[in-house]
Amino acid sequence: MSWRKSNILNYFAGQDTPPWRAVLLANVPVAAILLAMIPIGRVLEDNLDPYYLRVVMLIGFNIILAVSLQLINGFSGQFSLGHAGFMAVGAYLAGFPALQYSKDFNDPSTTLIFFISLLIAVGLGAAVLWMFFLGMRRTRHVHRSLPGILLMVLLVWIVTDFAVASKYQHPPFWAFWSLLADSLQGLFGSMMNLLGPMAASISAAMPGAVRRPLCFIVLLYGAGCCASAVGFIVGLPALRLRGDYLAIATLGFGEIIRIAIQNSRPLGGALGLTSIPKYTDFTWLYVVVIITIVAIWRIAYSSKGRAIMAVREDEIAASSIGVNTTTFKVMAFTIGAFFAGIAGALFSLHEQSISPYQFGVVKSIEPVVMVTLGGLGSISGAILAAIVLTLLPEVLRDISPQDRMVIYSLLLVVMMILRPQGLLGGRELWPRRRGPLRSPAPACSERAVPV
Amino acid sequence: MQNVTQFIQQLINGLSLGSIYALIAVGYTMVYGVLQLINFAHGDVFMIGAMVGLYAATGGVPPALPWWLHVVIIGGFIATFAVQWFRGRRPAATFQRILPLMAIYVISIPVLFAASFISRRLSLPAWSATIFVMGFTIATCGTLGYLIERLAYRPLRDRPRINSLITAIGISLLLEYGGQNPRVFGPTPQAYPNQVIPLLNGALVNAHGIVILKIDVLVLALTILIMVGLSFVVLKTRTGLGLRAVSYRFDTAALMGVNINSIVSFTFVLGSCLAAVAGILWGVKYTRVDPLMGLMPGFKAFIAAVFGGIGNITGAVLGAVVLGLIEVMVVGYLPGGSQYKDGVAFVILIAILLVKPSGLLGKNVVEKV
Amino acid sequence: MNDGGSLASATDVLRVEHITRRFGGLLAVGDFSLDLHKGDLQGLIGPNGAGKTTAFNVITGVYAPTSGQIHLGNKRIDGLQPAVINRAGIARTFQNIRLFQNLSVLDNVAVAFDRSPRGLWHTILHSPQSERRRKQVEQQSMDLLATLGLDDKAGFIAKNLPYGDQRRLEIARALATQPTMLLLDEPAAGMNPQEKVELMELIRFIRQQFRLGILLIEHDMKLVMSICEKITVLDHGETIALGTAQEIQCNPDVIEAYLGEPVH
Repeated sequence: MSWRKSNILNYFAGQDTPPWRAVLLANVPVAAILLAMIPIGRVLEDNLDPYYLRVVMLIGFNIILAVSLQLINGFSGQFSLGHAGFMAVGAYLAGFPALQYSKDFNDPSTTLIFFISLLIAVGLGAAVLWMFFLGMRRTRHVHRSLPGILLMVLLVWIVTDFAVASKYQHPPFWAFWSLLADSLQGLFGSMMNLLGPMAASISAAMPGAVRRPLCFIVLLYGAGCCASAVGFIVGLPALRLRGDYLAIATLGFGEIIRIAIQNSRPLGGALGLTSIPKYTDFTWLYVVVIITIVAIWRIAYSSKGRAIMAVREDEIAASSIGVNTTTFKVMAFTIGAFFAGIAGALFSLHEQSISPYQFGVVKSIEPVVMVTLGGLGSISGAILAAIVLTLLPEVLRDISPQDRMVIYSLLLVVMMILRPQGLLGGRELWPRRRGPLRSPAPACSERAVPV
Repeated sequence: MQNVTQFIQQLINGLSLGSIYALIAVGYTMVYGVLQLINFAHGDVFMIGAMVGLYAATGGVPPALPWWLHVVIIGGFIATFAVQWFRGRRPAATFQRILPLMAIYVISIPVLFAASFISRRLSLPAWSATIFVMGFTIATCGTLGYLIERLAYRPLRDRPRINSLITAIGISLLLEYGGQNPRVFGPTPQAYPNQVIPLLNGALVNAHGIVILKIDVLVLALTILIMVGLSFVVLKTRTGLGLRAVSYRFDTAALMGVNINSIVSFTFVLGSCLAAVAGILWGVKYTRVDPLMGLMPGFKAFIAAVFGGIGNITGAVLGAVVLGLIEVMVVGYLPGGSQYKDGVAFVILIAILLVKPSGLLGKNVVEKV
Repeated sequence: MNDGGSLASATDVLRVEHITRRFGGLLAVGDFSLDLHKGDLQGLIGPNGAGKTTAFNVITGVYAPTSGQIHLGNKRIDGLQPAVINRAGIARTFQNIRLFQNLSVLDNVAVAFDRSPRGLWHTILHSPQSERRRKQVEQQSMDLLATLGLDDKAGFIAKNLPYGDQRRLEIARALATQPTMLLLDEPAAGMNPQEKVELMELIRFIRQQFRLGILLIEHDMKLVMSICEKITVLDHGETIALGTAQEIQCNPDVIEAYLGEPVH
C-alpha cells in the first residue's frame, strides 16, 4: 500500500533518495524548462500570428492569477473576491516607476531607490498610524497604554498647531490625515531627489545588457512586494471573518483599492497611465508563469501547505496542536498577492496602458471562476481552467462581448449545478495524489458480530 | 440659516435614498437569514424591475416570448421528464414536481399578450396605468426571483456554500450582460417618462429653500410600512414562524413539518417584489436606467443589510437609511466627495465587519468548541 | 518519544488555581483547582453541563479565565493563545472529534511535527535542509502511527475512517505535539464495551510509554473508576468532590448530583 504516496511531500523522491539527489531531481528539470522558454519564445514570436500570440500571453496572465488565487481560496479556504486589487497595485507600481524613473528600462538603481523610498515613507506612515491605534488596544494593564495615548495626543496637538499656522483657519477633522499624506509625499519626493541622481549614475555605469533585464526584474519584484504588503493589510482583518463575510470584505477591499487609484492624480486618476514602455514578451511571461507554478506547488505540498490546509479544515483543532493560524492565513494572502502583483506588473508592461476600470469586480471574479471551475485545492485544475476560460471567449470571438459574457455566465451556472467540485475535483493531474479516495473495507470480518 | 436649510435638504435626500436601499436590503437580509446565501443577483432583479417598469409604461412589452425561448422551455420540460424517467421516476411524479414551473409558463403566455395590449393603450398619468405598471413589474420580478431560486439555487442546497455564491455571481452576470443585448434592453441608458405615477410629481413642501418631493415622502412611508408589516409577518404569523425556524436550523425545521421549499420560495418572491418596487421608484426619482444600474445599489444595499445585522429586517432598514444618509452627506460636505461615495460604503462595510460583524442589531453567535 | 529528561523538572506540574469562567451572568466554572503531575492519571466527571469541557477550554486557552491562574511548571499560561499553550506542552482532544477531515491520516499527524512558518525560502527552492526535514517528519509520523496501530491506514482520508480509529487518530495527533500533559475530552463516547477496554489499555500504555500527565473527562463510570487515580467531580460549575475512586463512589453529594435526592 502506498502510504508513501499519501504523504503529500513525496512526489519527486522516494524514501531512500539521499537529500542532494532529491534536490537536484526537483530543481534541474525546472531550470531546464525555464531555459527552454528562451528559444521557444523566440520561435513563437517570429512565427506566430500576433493574434494567437496575444491569446497565448493572456493565457499566461490568467494562469498566474488563477494559481496564486488557488493558494488563497483553495488551499487556505479563505474566499477572496479582491484579487484584482492586488493585480492593480502591482500594475500601477510597476507602470509608474517605469514611466517616471526609468525610461526604456535603463535605470535599475533609480527604480530600486523608488521602491526603497516608498517602503520608508509608507513604513513611517504605518508606524504613526500604529501608534495612533496603540492607545486604543485593550491591554491587561492600563498603564501600558498611557505612553501611546500621550504620544498620540502630542502628535495631534503638534499637527493641528501646524495646520492652523500654515493653511487652514479651522482645521477640519481630517486635516491630520491629509497632512500625513502630504508629508509622506514630501518625504518620498525629497528622498528621490536626493538619491535619484546618485542612483542614475550607478545605472549608467552598468553594461547595457545587464541594465535592462535588471531593471525589469527590480520592477517586477518591487511591484510584487508592494502587492504582497497590500495582501498583508487585507489578510489581517480578514482573520476575523469567515465565508460569505470574508468574500464581501475582500470585494470591498478590492473596490477601495480601485477607487483609491482612481482618485490619485499621480497615478493618472480615472484615465490611467499610458505609454508605459513595453518589455514583457513570451519568454519573460512564461518564465514567471513557470516560477509561479513551481513556487506555489512547492509551498502547497510542503509542511507549510499542510499547515495551511489544516487551518482550512479546522481552525480550532489546528490551534490546539500548536499551529499559528494567524500566521498561516496571512501567509496565504501575502504570497497570493505577491504573484498577483507580479501578474499585474507584467500586464502593465505588456499592455502599455492601464486604467482603474480594468481592475474592477469583474476582473476579480474571473480568477475565482477559474479556480472554482478547476476544483478548489488543485493547482493543475486552476491551470486547466485558466486555459479553457481564456480560450473560450476567443473561440466565440464573432459574438459581441456582451453575448460572450452571457454564454460565459450560463456555462458557469450550468457547471456549478452539474459538477460543483470542478473539473478535477480537487485532485491534481499528475503526480497522482492519494489515488481514488479509499475507504477501509467493512470490518465484518475482523470482529465477530453477535447474532 | 443657509447651512441649516442645506443640511435639512441633505437629510431628506438621504432618507429618500436610504429608503430605496432599504427596499432592496430587505430582500438580501431575508434570503441570507434563510439560506445563508448572499444573493448577488438581487441587485440585478432591482434593475430588471426598473427596466420592466419603463417598458410597461411606454408600451414596450413584447406580446410574446421569442420563438426560440418557447423551444428551449418546452425542450427543457421534455428533457426533464426524460431524465427523470431514466432515473426511474414515473412521469406523474415528475409532473407534480415541476408543476409550478409549467404553470408559470402556461400562464405567462396570455398574461404577456394582455400586458402588451394594455401597455400600448396606456395613458399616463392615471391611477389605472400606475396600478398596471406596478402590478406587472412586481409580478414579473416575483416570478423571476422564484425561477432563479428554483432553477439555480435549489439544486445546490446540499453543496458547499461557495458553489451557490458562484452561481449567484453567474446569474448576476447573466442578467447584466443579457440585459445589454440590443434585443433585450440595449446597453444605452434610457429615461423614465415624466409622469409614471400620478399625483407624485412636484414637491409636497417648498418652503424656506427646502424641497420635499412627493416621491420622497412616498418612498419613506412605503419603507416604514413594509418594515412594520414584515416585522408583523415574521413575528406573529405562522409563515413568519416557519421563516424564523428555517433561519435557525434548516434541517430541523424540515423535520418539524415546516415546508422548506415554500418558505424559501416565499422569501425570494417577497424580496424580488420589493426590489421591483424599488426599481420603479428609482426610475421615477432619478429617471436614468440602464442594465448595469443594479451593481452599485445592490452592493450598497447588501452593505446596509450587513451593517444593520444580517438576518434582521429592522436592522436592514435601519442600516440602509443610515447608509443613504452617510452617502448623501459625503457627497454634500466632503470636497471631492462624489468620487468617494462608493468607497465610503465599502469602508463602512469593512469597519463594521471588524468592529461588530453581527451588525448593529445582530447578535453574536459564538461557535461551541 | 518524549524528552530525554533534560528539562524534566521545568514542566512537571500543571497547576490550575481557582479559575472561574463566566459567560455574561452564567457561571460556567467556579473556583476550579487541579494539580496534575507528570505520570498522573486523573479524571474529571460530572453530569452534563457541569462545566468540564469549559474547564478544558480554559486550561488549553480557548477561553481566558475570568479569574484565577494556571501554571505549567514555573510558567504562567492562563490567557495565552491555544497554539502557544500547546507549544508549552499541553495537548487535548475534543468531545466531538475535530480531525482534519480531508487530509490523510499521515498528514493529520505530520502537521503537528512540522508546524513552524519559518523556512519558506527553503521550501520554494527545495533545499537539502527541507528535504532532510521532510524525511524526518515522515519517519516520526509513521513511527507514532505504528505505536498507535494506525500505520497500515496511513494513506486513508481521515473522514473515511471508522469511529474508533478516528478517536485513536485524534489521540495520535495530540501526542505528535510532544506534550507533557494530555487532556482527553470524552475519549470513550460512542464506543462499544470492547472498544472501551481497548481504550483503557491504550491510555495506560500512553501514560507508561510517553510519561505524560493525563486528565480525562468521561461519563463511563466503569472506565473512570478503573483507571483514574484521582477524580474531581463538578456539578453546575462547582467542585463538589475530590478524591480516589472509592471515596467518590461513597460521597453523598456525588450520588445526589447524578441520581437526585433519595426519596424519603
